[in-house]
Amino acid sequence: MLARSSALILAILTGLISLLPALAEGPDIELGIAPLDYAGQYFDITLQPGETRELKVELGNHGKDTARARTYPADVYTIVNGGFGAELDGEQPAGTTLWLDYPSKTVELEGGRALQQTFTVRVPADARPGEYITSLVVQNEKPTTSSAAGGGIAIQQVQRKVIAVAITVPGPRLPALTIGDLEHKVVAGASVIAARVNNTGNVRLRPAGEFVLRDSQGAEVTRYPIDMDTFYAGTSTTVEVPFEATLLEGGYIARLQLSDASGATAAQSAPLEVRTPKDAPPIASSGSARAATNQPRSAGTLEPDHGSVAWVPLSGAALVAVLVLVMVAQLWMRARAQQRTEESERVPLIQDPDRWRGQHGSGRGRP
Amino acid sequence: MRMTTGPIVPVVATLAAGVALFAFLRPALAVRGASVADLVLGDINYSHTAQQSHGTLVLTASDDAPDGWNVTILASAFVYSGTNGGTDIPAANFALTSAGAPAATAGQAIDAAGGPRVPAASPVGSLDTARKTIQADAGFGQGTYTQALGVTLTIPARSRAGTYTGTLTTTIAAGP
Repeated sequence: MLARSSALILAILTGLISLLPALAEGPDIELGIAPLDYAGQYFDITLQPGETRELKVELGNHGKDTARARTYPADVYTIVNGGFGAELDGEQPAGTTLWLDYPSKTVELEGGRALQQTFTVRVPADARPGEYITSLVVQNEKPTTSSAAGGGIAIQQVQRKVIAVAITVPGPRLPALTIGDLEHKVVAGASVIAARVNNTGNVRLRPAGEFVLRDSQGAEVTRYPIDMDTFYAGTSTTVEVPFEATLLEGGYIARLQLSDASGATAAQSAPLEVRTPKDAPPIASSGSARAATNQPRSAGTLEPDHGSVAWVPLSGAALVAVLVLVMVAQLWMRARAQQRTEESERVPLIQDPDRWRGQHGSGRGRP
Repeated sequence: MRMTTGPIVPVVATLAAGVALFAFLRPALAVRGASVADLVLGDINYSHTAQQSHGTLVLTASDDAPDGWNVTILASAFVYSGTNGGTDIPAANFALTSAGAPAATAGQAIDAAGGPRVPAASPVGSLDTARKTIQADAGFGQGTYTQALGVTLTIPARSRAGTYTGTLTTTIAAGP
């Protein structure tokens, strides 16, 4: 019995091990883009007005299957609260992106192969000093297949890989920052106070500061630290302060103050009127009800307020190892059980011969 | 997964500007990627009032280069398909409501300061604009990481029965 089990385990192990190389080959399609003949994962170059520079990128497919990919240059903007954003495919390029002659096109990339693309950066002769930025993108040509998310909702996905092309034109650095209007809005049943901010200078900023909300009587309701990510020169974005729920109805005074290490500073105060939405939607799925509150969400790590998700993905090799362990354990337990069964059939004959005889007869005849 | 197909095999020795050439992948080419999966939303039935459907999805981000990276998510409108004459749900109705702390599944461990981590500025808000949910500073984030995200879709009142399909654009970027 044990010999048969061992042979079966060996056969299963052999089969699974033969699958490992296939699993180790990775995903079907994995697109990538990276500078070629350049140190770093994105371009950061300095050029004089009127100067040109030839650069090269490599578009790769690290997967197994042939992929159709879109590649294009994209304007860079500052996302909400700061950070790198690249415009979508099809958006009309403008500004610094027009300094590149990088073609927008669809390419076919075999698995494990790469396409090398050269392009030229031409800084206009009348370009002013400052820090300019644009980007290069590669993505799947068509969104991945829809998948049901429940309740008649389906999701498809575009996966983009983006590298920056940052160009510095030497000259005076002129950091400057302004804050525009502040507004209150309700997103997913919770209040958000948003402030328009503008980098009106010629260098990148990393502003930080504080948001303070007071009621109409001047009493402080909440105080919230602001720590923006990169704020690109010549761009505008919003700083948002999200709250745990909707603010209580009434009048408020909001104040935002920002400053950057470069010396740029700005501040703005504005009155806000908060009214409860007439058509506040009920919550459809399980989760804690949102009570009205005047406390903003924590700025750091945020945990879901309607249940956490435990998700531990297994790599292919790890999955195989787990399966093997489970099967080996099952087979060992079966073998042990069989062995015990065989032993248990013998035990009564040795330990309790009278009971055995009582149940099955002694062979010597009943009295 | 990094491909190790061997050294570069140039097809042509001289490159001219704008000319595209094919070659084997360099082992040194960074493998960087981000995607979302496992979106689950609560069921929604027809209603005369707006409804909210809360759910979760899982973001996976990976990189093997030491220069740092960041990941943003952006949603399109949810396009109606069906036979009841429904209308699209605006992208602004899909919102990120939470971003969990990243968990490392392979490679470099998470560093509290260098990341990968949730940005200091809260990423929650409507996904009609790109939101950064996870980032790694230079010298960190060489591995594979997952992040649980909470999302809410607000279904307008009187939305017709059918399927509403949204497109999520997940972007992993390297830049200053």
